[in-house]
Parts: sequence; C-alpha cells; structure tokens
Amino acid sequence: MMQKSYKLVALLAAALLLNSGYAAAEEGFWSWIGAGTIDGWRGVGVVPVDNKQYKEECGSCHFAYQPGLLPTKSWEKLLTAEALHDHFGEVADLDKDTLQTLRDYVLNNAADKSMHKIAKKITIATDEGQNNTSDISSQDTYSDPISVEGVASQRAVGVFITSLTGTGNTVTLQKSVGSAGTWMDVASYTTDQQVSYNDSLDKQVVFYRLGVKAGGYVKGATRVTLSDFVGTRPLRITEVRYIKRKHNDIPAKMVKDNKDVKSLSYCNACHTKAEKGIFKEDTVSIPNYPDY
Amino acid sequence: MKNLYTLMALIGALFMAANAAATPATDAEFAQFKSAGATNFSAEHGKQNWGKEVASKDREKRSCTTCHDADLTKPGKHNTTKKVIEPMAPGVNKERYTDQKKIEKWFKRNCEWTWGRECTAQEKGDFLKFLMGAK
Repeated sequence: MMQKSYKLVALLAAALLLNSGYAAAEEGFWSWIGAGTIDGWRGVGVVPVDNKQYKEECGSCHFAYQPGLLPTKSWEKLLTAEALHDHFGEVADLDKDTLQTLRDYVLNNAADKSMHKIAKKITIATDEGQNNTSDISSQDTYSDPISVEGVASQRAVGVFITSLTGTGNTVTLQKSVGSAGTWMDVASYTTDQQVSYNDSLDKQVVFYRLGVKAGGYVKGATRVTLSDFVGTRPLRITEVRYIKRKHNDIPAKMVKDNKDVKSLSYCNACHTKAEKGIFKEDTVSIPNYPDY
Repeated sequence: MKNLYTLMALIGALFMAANAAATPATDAEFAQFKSAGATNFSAEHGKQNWGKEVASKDREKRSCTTCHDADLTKPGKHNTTKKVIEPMAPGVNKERYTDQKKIEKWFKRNCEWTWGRECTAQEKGDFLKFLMGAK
C-alpha cells in the first residue's frame, strides 16, 4: 500500500516536471496542447519552411522565403534552370534533381495552396489583377475604380471601349491621386478603342475610373473596361500589392536608408519571427528605431 | 616503451596536421581535376586568383573577396543579400570541403558570377589547394 502511493506520487511529480519543462518554452507549450496546428492561432501568417533541402539551398544566400509568400504562377516562373541561372543577377544554378525537389515542394506549398492569413491575402492580391467593366446607359455613370502603383510599366492602365462609335456619347478617363474621390479628367474618347495609358507618376498610388460625365450621354449602352496589366505574376515578394501596401507608411530612413535594413527584401531584418512564418506587427523590431 | 608511444603519437599528430583538410570529397575532386589534365596544383596560384579582380563591360569589378573575406578564417558577406558566409578555412569551419557535390556546385556558380565563365580544372585545383591549407 505504502509502496503503491509512493509510486503514484513519483509518477505525478514526474508528470508535473515534464509539463513545466514544456511550459517554460512557450512554443513547446502551445504545440504541447495542440494549438500549434491551428491556423493563425499565434499569428502564423504563412507556413514555416519545413523542407530541409529548401532551407539549405535557398537559405545559404538569402532569407529562405516561405513558399506561401508567392502564388504558384510566380514560383513556376522563378524556379526553372534557365531562370535560376540569372536569379536577380545572381548565378543560382541547381542540379536537376535538387531543382525538381525544391520546385515540387514550393509549388505544393505556394500561397494559393494555403489557408494561412498572409498566403491568402497574397493569393487575392495576385489573383487576376484589376478588371472592371460597366455598361453605361446614363450620364454621370462610371466603372468601379482601379488603382495603380509602382513604377514604369507597372503603372499601365488599359482602356477598352465598345459600342461607343455613333452614339454621340463621350467617355472620360478620370484619375484621383492617393485615394478615390477627387476626380480629375485625364482623357476623353468618342469612338471605340483599346488604348494603354501611363501616368508616369512613379511610386504614387493613383485611382482611375472610366465613364460618362454629366452632359456626356446621348444614347445607347456603351461598354467600358478598365484594367491593369500588372501585379498578377510578381517575381519579387516586394512587388506583391498587398506586401507593398502593408509597408507603405514606413519611412525610407527606416528601411532603404537604414544601414541595418537596406531593403524590404530582408524580411528578418525587422520581422523577428519571420522564420516561423510570423509577421505580426508586435513581432517587428526595426534596427536603430527601437521606438517605432 | 613510453618513449615509443610518445614518438608514435607525435608522428601521428604530424601526419594528421599535414593532411588536416583532406577529405574523401577533396580527394575525389583532385582525382577529377587530374583526369581532366590538370596537374601540379599550387596554393600560391590559388591565392593569386582569389584576389584577382575581373571587370566586364556592364558591371562592377568582381573577385572572390567581393563576398568572401581575404582572410579565410573570417566570415564573409554576400554582396547582394548581405547574408553572412561562414569562413572558408577548414581549420575554423569543419564543414568545409566535406561534400563533393557542394564543392562543385559553388565552383560552378561562383566562377560564373565572378569571372563570367566556369573555372578550369587547373584553377579549381589551385583554389582548393589554397583554401584547404588555410588554418
């Protein structure tokens, strides 16, 4: 009897010890109670890299970006023998077998294959681009606005107009800088056409809409379409619209001109838990700007 | 008897020091270089090439030391990503030159990036000799 209860106490003590050991390491504790597998439970935005070869091959030169940070179509273009031979200016040749292994792993875990928060946002941001069509049969009617950002060709706006010729209607392209609301005329059209417009306002967010102003309508139903041509297949994670927007309000002095950061490409320069797929704001620590 | 043991240990130590960095991987590499016609591998030539700057028309001058430190016992830094590159000296970094596939992979990539072409068997042998000798 006596012996039995000793045994019991010893067992209990051992169990407690084990538990507290787990609890001491916070993460171990969470995975211990099974929460580690619940999406987003602790702010895991993308699935951490769990392929040793990927971590080694890619991580020997740069932060081993999680596959969930780009959609399948982007990775498909990046991870070919040809593309890797000129990998953003670096020679990143891989032997055939390694490339196949890494490519399979990445494509199976790309953003659009994941339900994690950031991966989903990236999937949406890179999905189809923007494409808004409206049939206009009264004055003062416009398509939903689209926005452009980035530089050079990234800013191209596609204007497509049909069923306009002969109606006497006037279609106007308008822009609003910074946010949608303060509309200014950019161009107007009185015949069917497909044209590309580029405002050259590099790095500014500009909204566009296409429609018929008050007094511009005569008859018929004119179809207008506004689209952007970009953002759909970014090769750089920093070109993903969602990622750009998330970092928009951080001043250049903290990133580009910060000697310990330099570029948004170095996720883990500020995101202290980037490797774990956690990019939440409270895990950010910007070097040389402790109070940000 | 005791003296004999000491002597044996000493000889052993000497032998090991002389071959400190040689691994099955490097042996295989040298065999390959030789079969490609290279011979008389020279650490001195390797050292010269390590610092040799090569320019090409549309880019900055590049050398091994653009990313690796000239002092092989010190870590280097990737030119673009700034990621730390572990020291090249096997005396400091035990993992160096233990995997033939890795050696070949990096020779191919880095020769192309730095010199704009693949290195010859002779150049690679000289490099390896130089790198392995670093304490």
